[in-house]
Amino acid sequence: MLFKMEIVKTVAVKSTLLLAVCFSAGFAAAAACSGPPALQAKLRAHADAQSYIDLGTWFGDHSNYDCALETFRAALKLEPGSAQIYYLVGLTLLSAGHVEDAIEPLKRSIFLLPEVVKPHLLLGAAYDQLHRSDEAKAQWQAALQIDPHSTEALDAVSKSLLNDGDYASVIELLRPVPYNEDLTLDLALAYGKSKMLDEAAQLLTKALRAHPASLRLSSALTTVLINQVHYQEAGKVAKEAALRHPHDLEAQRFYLRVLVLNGDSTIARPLARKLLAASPHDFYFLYLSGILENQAGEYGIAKDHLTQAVALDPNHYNAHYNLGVALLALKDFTGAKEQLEKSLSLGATEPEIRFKYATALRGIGENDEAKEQLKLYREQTHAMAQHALAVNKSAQAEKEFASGDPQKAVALYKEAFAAAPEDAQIAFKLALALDKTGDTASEHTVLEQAIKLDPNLALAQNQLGYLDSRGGDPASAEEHFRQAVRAAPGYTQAWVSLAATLAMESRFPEAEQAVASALRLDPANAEALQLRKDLTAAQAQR
Amino acid sequence: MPPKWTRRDLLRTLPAALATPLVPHALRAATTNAKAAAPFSRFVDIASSAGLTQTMVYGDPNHNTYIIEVNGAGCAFFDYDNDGWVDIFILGGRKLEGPVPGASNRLYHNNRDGTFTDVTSKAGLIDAGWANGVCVGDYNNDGFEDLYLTYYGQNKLYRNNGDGTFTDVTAKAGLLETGTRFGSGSAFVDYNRDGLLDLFVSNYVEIDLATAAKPSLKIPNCNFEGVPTNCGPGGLGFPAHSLYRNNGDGTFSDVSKESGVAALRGSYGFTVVAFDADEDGWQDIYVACDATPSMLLMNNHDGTFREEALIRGVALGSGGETLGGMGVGIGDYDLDGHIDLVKTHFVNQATGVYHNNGKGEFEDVTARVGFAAERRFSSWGTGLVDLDNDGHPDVLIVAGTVAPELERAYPNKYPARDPRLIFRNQGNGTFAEMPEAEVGPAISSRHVSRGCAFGDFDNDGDLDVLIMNRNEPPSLLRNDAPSGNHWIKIRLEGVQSNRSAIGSRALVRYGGKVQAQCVVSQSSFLSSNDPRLHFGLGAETFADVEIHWPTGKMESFSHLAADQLITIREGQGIVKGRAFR
Repeated sequence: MLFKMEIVKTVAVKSTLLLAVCFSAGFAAAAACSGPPALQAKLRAHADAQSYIDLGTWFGDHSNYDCALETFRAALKLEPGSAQIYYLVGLTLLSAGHVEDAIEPLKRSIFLLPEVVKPHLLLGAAYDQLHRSDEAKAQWQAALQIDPHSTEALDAVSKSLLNDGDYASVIELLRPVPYNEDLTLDLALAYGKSKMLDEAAQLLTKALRAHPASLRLSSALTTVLINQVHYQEAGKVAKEAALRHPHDLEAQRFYLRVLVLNGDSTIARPLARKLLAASPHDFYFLYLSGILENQAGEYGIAKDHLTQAVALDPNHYNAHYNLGVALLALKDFTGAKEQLEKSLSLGATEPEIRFKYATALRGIGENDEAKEQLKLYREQTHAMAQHALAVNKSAQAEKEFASGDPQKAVALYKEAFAAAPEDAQIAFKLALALDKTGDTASEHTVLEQAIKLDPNLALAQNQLGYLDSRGGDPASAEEHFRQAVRAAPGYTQAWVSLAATLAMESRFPEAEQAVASALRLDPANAEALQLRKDLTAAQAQR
Repeated sequence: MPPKWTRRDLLRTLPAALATPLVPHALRAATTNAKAAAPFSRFVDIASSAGLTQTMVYGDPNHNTYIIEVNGAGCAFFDYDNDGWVDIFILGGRKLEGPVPGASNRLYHNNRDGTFTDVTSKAGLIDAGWANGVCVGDYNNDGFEDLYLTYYGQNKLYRNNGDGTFTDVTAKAGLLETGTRFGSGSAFVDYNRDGLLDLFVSNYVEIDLATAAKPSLKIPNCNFEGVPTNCGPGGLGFPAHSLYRNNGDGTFSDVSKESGVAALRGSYGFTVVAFDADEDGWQDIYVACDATPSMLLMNNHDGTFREEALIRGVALGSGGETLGGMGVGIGDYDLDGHIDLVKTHFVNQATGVYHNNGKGEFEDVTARVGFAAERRFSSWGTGLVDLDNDGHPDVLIVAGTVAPELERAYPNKYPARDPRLIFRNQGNGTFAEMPEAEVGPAISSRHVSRGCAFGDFDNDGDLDVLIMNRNEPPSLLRNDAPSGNHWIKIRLEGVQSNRSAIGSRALVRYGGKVQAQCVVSQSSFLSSNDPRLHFGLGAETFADVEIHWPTGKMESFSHLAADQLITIREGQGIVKGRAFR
């Protein structure tokens, strides 16, 4: 990690206690810290805080954190209220891996000078490393508030939102921001995760056109194109990147992976050989070469490559699987069984593995176990086929629903749900379609099935609450609304529904709390505003 | 809990997020190692001069909205008038908007001079629906071959009246179906060894055009590599398949339930080939299936079947992946006396070769025998047949797109019209794909083809090829096999067994080799071959023949001279058969 130095304004505030905290990291005393002659001379000439800062920075840049710390200690003695120096201390401790110890000096720096971005970012990074996510997020948000254009702050906040799965917020945050590679990649990822692949592709294509040498952009675009099933274009982009970065192993690996995925083995195989000859111990070159040789029927060669690959990365389930395939072809059933078992134990879920495993088991006479594996294979493939059927029927149903034919939609959703009885989302959509047809009894039944499958399906909980409320069962309605807001605290409508239900039972204080939650989320929510008025009036009358 | 995504994770999961890396992907054509060998056959497309000029309408040539427009159709070589010269029957279709004036299935009478006459109307076979497949067999044992056609809609049984005409006896035979089904493959098969041809029908998908989805990028299975295409088969409902027992009185009974066939759901059925896979004397049924495991129904000898394709190695690809199984070639590629299978597949999938050890246990030898490289085209009709009479069965494949829209987006990768492919048997258990430059224009010309049938229409001792081309006239490839190679043809006539001898297995021994073939009513893609079993003998001038009849009897004949058609009648030996030359 490079030791970045930032210029920060200083405010003189005494804090000897914090000094002690800063240096309680148990560092071995740096007996003789000598920096470059020029800086030493400057220090001798003017032993002021800035000279110490300059020298300490030099030590930090050269990863001599003990000396950096000692030098900053000296600086703090001269300017004990310096936000900059506290920041540098925090940075040093963080760089040296003393994350916990970095917290206090960084907090101090922020306390002294809260309107500087970097300390917030650094403190956020420290909290993040300590898995104190909420505190990390608060620091990043603070940084963004100070400087809404700070790319580091935007990047940090975006990543935090991405980790939370809040892709919509990332899109909202980053869409208007001028180009920056990190932010472009964050935005592309948010688009991708939101299944807005066209937008992701457009964004990355434009960025790559402007910055054709960016490997990160080309890798991201390739990934998006493959997710869009535009294999040929993906191949072109990956190839271009590989040509631009002929010595970048990651670029070469990526290109080779795309070629293998696309089945372009006439190009892939000679390329794999060339890359492997240049980097004979590279896991990916060994692994992909193994796959290619398997496909070509060269099982002996495949076995050699893949044996080396699994030795390099014993936790790569697909390498074990492919080695198993090669061994099976070579009739080494015992070896194949071992590899396929390993693949499964590492979490492989593809049904094909069960199939191959069954073949290996039969090869060594374990026919009963082989039958069991084939049974699992059949179950998995059947489940996949049923899922495909459900998705297709569901999509047709959505079409019918959108075109105003809820009856047809109901029939199709029923077929989809029959094919995928564990799918809460489909159940919920069926319920909505039933609602449109006026069949609330069936709707209620289906909604109950939906929340049984997924109690956190907030929309279903809310709808059930609504039906129960209409049906004169406020207790049940309340429970469902509470479940809805528990599952989705940002679900304004559910808060409003809860508030209304509580109000109907004259539980005004609770109702007011619920309304307040709704208005926090959406201050202009008309229903919530009206309800608040009504609550006020109701309480006034009492 | 959603995964914590970082850019690094996205890159790392590139293979996992996409098509599974476990599935072998396209392996572009590697080198073809065709030995500089003896001359091979030359093929000449004589369809036009032969009078096969009617366009076989089938869906829109540029854009297919629904999958029913895609699969058709099959064709047949069969001798409907018993004059010893095989005639031609080709299935056609219609368009979504309706039948096209003048379009129909077509029956062409062989004039014995290299030309054919369209006798469709005269024969009573005019029909323009979504016809898919044909199987041929004498279901009423009256000595005349009948036809069973599958449709999206109502399948039809045409009884051959023996006078050049046919009658639709579907209703009379008890074969009317309720509801609309997507009939696909079919086979006459004597599954209970009573001497009568029963009927197995596979269905493709369940689809109701009233609610079926249309090409869309937003609906899974309704697009391909970013191009909206006709939906399916994935995501469409799984149909039931049917078995009908021949009652011996011109009618059939639906025994799907009691036989266990009705319980088979989960596969999209295509070509049906009935043969004795495990050589126990009882007919088994193999169904090539699309995007789902293919099926091998093993005969329990008691009127029921058990499905064992998975455990017997013919359900899936060698990696356990489901393949788009379309057509089936049946023969003995390695001359070990057992029936092997060749199955054509979807684009980006190699045609599969499955070696039978004689016990109905199959090994996927696709890569080993030299088929792994060729994956460029969606492949349909096929035959494991000796084209050059050198004594080693070759493989011919016809191809064509399932989605003409793909060509606009990917003109090089997914051209709509594709060439025929020939894999020449090297004589050592492997094949070599013959390069376009060697095969001649009739093979290398490009069409959207589906079914093909193999037969000797000119009775010159080699196998010609009839090909159904969508929205074009058919191709009729006359085979000019190299002179010097000998052959023998065998026509079987059942007496106790069904008259067509469907289900018979012949072993022919020549020059230290043994080759197995069987009489089937359907193979290739939804098509039916000339029922005369054709064996190339290479340099050998004599052969020994062993026949295993479907009712269990075995007969053998020694030292038969090459270059002739032998007619063997069950229990009566070699008889004077139909005219040959």
